[in-house]
Amino acid sequence: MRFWLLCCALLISVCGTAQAKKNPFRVDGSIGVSHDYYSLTGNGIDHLKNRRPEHVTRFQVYTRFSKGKISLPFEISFNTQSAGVTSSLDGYSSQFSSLSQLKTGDDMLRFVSNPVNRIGFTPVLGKFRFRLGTSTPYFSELVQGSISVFGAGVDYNGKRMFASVGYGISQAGFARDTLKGLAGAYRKEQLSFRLGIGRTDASFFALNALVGNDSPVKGLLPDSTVKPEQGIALSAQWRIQFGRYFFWESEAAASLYTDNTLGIPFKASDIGLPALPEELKLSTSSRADLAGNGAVGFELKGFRLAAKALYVGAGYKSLGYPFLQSDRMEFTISPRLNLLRGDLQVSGSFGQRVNNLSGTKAAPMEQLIVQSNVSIRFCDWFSFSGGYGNFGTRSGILNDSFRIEQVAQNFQVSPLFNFTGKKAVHTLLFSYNRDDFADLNVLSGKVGNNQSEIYLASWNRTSLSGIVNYGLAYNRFKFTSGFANLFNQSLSVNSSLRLFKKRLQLSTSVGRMANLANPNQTEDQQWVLNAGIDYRSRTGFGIGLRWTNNNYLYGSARPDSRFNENTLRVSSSWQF
Amino acid sequence: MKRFILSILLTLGIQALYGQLSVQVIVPPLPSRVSELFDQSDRIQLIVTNTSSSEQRFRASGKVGIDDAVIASILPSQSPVEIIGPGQVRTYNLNDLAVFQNSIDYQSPVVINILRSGYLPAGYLNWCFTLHQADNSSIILCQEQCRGARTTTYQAPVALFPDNGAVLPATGLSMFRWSPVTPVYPGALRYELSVFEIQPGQEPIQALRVNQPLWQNSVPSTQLNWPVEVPREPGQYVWIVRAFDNAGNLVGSGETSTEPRIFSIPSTQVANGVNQQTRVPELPFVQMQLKPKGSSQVVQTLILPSNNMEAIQELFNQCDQKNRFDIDLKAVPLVTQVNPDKAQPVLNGKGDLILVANANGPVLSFKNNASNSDWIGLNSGAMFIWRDSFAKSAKGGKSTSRDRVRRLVDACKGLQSFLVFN
Repeated sequence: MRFWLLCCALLISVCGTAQAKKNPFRVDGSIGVSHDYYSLTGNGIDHLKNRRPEHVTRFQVYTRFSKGKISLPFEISFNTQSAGVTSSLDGYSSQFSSLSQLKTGDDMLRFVSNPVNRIGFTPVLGKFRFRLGTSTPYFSELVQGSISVFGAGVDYNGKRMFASVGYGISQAGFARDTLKGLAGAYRKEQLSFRLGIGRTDASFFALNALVGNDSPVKGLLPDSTVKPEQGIALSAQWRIQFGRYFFWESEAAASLYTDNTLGIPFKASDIGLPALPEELKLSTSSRADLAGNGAVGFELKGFRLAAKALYVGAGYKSLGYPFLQSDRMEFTISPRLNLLRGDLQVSGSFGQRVNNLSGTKAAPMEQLIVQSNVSIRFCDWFSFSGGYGNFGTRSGILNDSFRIEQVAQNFQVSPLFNFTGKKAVHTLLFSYNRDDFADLNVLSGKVGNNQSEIYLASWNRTSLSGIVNYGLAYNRFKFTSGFANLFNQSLSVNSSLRLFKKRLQLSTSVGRMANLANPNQTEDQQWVLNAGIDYRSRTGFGIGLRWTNNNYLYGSARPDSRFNENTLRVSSSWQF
Repeated sequence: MKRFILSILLTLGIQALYGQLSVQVIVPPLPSRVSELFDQSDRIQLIVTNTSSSEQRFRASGKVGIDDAVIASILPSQSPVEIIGPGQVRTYNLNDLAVFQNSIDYQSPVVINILRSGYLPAGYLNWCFTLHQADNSSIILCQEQCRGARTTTYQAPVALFPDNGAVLPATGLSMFRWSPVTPVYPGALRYELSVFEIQPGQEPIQALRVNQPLWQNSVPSTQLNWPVEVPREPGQYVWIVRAFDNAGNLVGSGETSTEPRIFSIPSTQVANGVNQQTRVPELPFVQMQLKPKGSSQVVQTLILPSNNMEAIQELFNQCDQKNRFDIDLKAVPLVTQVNPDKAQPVLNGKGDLILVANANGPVLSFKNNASNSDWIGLNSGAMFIWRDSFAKSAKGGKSTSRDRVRRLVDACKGLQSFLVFN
């Protein structure tokens, strides 16, 4: 109930502001509410589980008040989902199943700082941009850029210099919950800083810093298996543009990271380093390492060449990129050639990745990635594209029976015809794709090898008036391997109709699939139906309804098994 | 002769002393992670047996090495005096005999590498101990005993395909591939692939952290098809793979999953002149030309990546709802290079607008002829070419790219939701 009251209050306040014609500020943006309903029913489907929460309501507002150089964008996005959701990697969204559970100020703080929700206000006043609430500051590829934080920050973008400083919580602390199977979490705080000269879209030099620290929240202790971490990442980043045709950009970074600040303490003086501030809690889980990247690009009439390199030391870790894989070095070269005024384009990418720079692994792994694409436009109505890719992985001694060596190759051709008539455009597309995966291990290779072939043909008629459109597609693939085969055919029809000066759109698609894993069995049959209605008024108000039904009947591989899956989304939005 | 007799006596004496105590070293399987090694160092045990008929007072010494490199040395002076009675057998944990942390040679290049990575180097980790007479450490009471085991860390899987920005077909086969854990893991592994839907307004990492996986499967191999039971709905997705051993523990040093990779599935609907039945690279762009009612002059040309069906549809609705324009819409061939003489794209001057369809989806870039500094590349937003005539009709003389975008927004309200610009 509180949720709906909050939605209404926000809706009214935004509408009221937007409709006040005498307001000197200009207001634009959008506001929307949607509700998703999901169900899965059937027989003999113990191997399946719900793919979505049964009920989720989402509320989103994006609005901007602006006048002259002042701009006040405001973003709010939050959702509720039914209790009992088996959620995510860290069980986050199960913290609060409804707003009614919010009883204290701390609860509210945890709710708004929960990554499930985004509540952000980013006013722009001249050269300053303030970040209040949830934001995702991006500094560089090695220090910060992937994690949203809830807090405050300010960016300055001058003609010759730029700067940022911010503080935020990337994860609210919560206690372990044995009933829900949640280990809990420490509160993760981040302090970030950036200072640079020049222009980021031309030449510049910048220093970036990120400090992250886990701290316990009173009364909300996580499980003892959860360890508090701490880390600092610093980097120098630059980009140099040489005339029109050449650029060089690079970043050199260092990090000091402690996996468990409660571990056996460790002093910097033990290894002959000067004493560090007491706030830095070094332990035997601390590590310090370097990372760097670089890219150069060269461009001359119709030809472009870019080369990239990345080095990440085994101990490098920035809390701004928690998923960054370490202990590796990568090189990539990407040439591109445009000929015949762009009608012929050839592009490619050649890359190599090696790991075990630290020597901590008994055998290094090498990966080779080759991709190439060619696109030719013969005339207005006919074009052709093709591509080849090769991914190779090798680890271990060449003649060792335990070595790992895998090669995946992919080849694709795709002609496209576009015929434009007086009333409609007809698009005909054909595509053939072949994929070969070879496991060269002498013991497991025969089982791991597999091949697949995919054929696709589609025709679509698109009316120039945009009133009625429809199309047909046929897809067929065959997958064979040492341990499983799969043969699939699908035929789908789709159409859309727009009425009432195109304000009302009806769309539907029906697909019928047949899946066969073993020729001695009967095939699985699947019907997928999509239907949608969308209406948008002259004033920007819109409502929509989308329904997807997935009806699956298993063949003799799972006798008497079937399921029916429904997803329904009802949405309403207003753009002003 | 005297020397010979003395040497025999000395040898016999040493043997006699050696015979007074015996030591056995027990080293269980230990982790390669240094912090865990410290935590578990008390699992290393020394079983000391006093075979003599008298009480023995002794100190321990030891060496820890990886292959030929010594990383820690426990000196007798660092070890407390222990007393063991005649005939007694006593078990000591390493922590009873030394503070392991104080014995490490922090100047050793191997140790410096360990401090950088947080892990032991791959090799044979050897623990050797001996016992000395407490009052005179030069007198050794037993033969040195060594035990050890091979150490290695394991590389978590690396995501191979689909790569960041890939566009998967709405039907048919879509294979996910990743590299195996390396080096070869001694036990059985299962790889758990999780695919998360990125909801509107969400960021990929946010979706990964808080959403329920759309589907999740575990396999022993390093590849998996999109399950045939699961229909592919248009939208953006993020996927990761984690490796688990038989006991359900995550495998991988430093990180426990692949780096998240983002891919999208285009709409299967046909609407507003754009066919999305096929993968984006075959039909990457849609051109929308706006003409004022009753005029044949094109005042504005919009080029939109066709993988963002909603953006196109919304833009079409917004532009058309006030009935100000006649709109021509058509699919744009694979690669289009705008001729600056015919259409003048102005973000900050005269330049080329280049449409490219590559493996990462459609990319559209603007290269300013003068400074080469203005560019926009996007995979999911709308983009526009600004015609000279339209620019002139706008207010003011000099204008920035942002002003022009704003005026475009004014002309076609609602567009700002789909524009991506710096």
